[in-house]
Amino acid sequence: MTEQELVARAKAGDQDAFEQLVLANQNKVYSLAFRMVNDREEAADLAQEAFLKAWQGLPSFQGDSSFSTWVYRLASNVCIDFLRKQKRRREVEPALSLDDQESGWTEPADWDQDPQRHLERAERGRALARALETLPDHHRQVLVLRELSGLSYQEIGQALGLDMGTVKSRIARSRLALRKILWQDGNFFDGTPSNPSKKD
Amino acid sequence: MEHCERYTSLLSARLDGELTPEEERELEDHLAVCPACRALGSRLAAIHSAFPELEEVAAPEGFARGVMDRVRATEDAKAKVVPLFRRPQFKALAGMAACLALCLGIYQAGLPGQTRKDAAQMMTAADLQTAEAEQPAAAAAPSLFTADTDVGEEKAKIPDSVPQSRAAEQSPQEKAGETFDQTTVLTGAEEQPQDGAANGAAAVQSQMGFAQEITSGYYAFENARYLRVSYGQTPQAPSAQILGSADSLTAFLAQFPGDDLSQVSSDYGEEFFAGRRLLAIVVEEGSGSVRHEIAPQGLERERVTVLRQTPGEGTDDMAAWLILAEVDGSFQDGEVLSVVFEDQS
Repeated sequence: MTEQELVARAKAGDQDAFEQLVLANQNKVYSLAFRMVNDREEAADLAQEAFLKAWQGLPSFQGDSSFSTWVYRLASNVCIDFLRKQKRRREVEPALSLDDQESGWTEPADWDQDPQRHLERAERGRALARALETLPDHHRQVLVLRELSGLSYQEIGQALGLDMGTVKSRIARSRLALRKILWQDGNFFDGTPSNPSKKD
Repeated sequence: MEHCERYTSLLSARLDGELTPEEERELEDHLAVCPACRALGSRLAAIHSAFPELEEVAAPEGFARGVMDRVRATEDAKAKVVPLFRRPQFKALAGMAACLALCLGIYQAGLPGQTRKDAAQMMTAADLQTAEAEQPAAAAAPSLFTADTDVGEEKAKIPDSVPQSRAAEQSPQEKAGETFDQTTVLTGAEEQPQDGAANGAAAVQSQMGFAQEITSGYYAFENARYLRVSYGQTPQAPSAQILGSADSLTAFLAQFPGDDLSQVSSDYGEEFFAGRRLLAIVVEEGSGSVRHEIAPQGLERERVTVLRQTPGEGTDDMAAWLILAEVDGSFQDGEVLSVVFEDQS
């Protein structure tokens, strides 16, 4: 049965059809939630909430996008809600500074001394996943919102209550921090970029 | 590298398509003369391009089952709040009430030499029996319908008995004590003969009486306002709470950083909260086309039912609403109510 058919059945109240949709999308949605909050239990709860919202919102789902894209967006929004509440809690009990200025990172003295290694795609993905898990929350979250949820800088700013300049600099710093972790782990990501633009 | 620091964020923003044309030109000019930044740009691009290669993390075992449990719980909750008047049981109940009134009237009319007061007292006793008995339908109803059978041929006397019907004789306290439990008890006698029960003023009056009793579990609200607010910048949704002071309202509205709700603050000052409270409901939807309304009899002590109307054609944008309604002073500041949705076709 196609996704469209399952959606049509689920909209008519067929819970079995909806469960099929859940099974088909659960890893993708859970992955997003996990990478956003870096906590498996919390991620499971958020991902379940996203699917619950999907069930409740099915009557209004017009199929302009695929169900998969829609539920992914719902999951992004659920995670954003979570991050906002988490931020409010931290504002009440400041335990961790989110000031970009305090999370600076110094680049390696000479980039060109990095040994060249071409990693297989899968290995790159695994290395990136490991590196993401070790990033500080505020770095990881903006990157996930940008790279996985596909939010614009403005949307990220609205979601996290940051001005555009802070979003821009935080994403840049997050990428540098990620680069540092990968470099320390021996994963250099120095292969050919997908969109080379340098003028050699 | 120090002087290149400024270009790091431009390199990053370029990957996201967030550079202005001026910044783009500035960056290109710099890259033309700075090999270190060109190298950094290529490394950041490699990381950027690796994100689609991230492996999915497997959802924990039983994840889908957990989702479906929550779905079923939601559906069960929805089923429980089908408005009373739409329930098939209600018609049976109303008919039953009418039948009961009719039977009592006939019973009283058929008692030789007994005053209306005596009959009323007997009815009260029957009521008590009905309310207290574990099997009240079996215990109370048969005795009442026995009377019906005894005087079954004397229905012409009904008009005289109408004022003595159960609903008419009941004290306000007794009415207040009427609960769904009791009506459920009466439902147990549905199968009893009801011929003729729906006819005449007694039936109408009795139905009205029950309707009033049954709806007494609902609370009044007025001046409901439906405000669309910024999605993702609201308190938890769905949620409902009682605001009992201007300070509480101010603190509550501070949780909507994306919206100017100053008009709301000025509309409900200390004067308003002197005798009334504000019910504040926050809802979110997967579409901005969805409309909401507090169900006409949707406000109960611990929960509020929101009607949700979805248009045939709608948008897939995310949306959030703040619904405000004025309620009486019996609600307390900070009380939290559960929100139940009822979809309208």
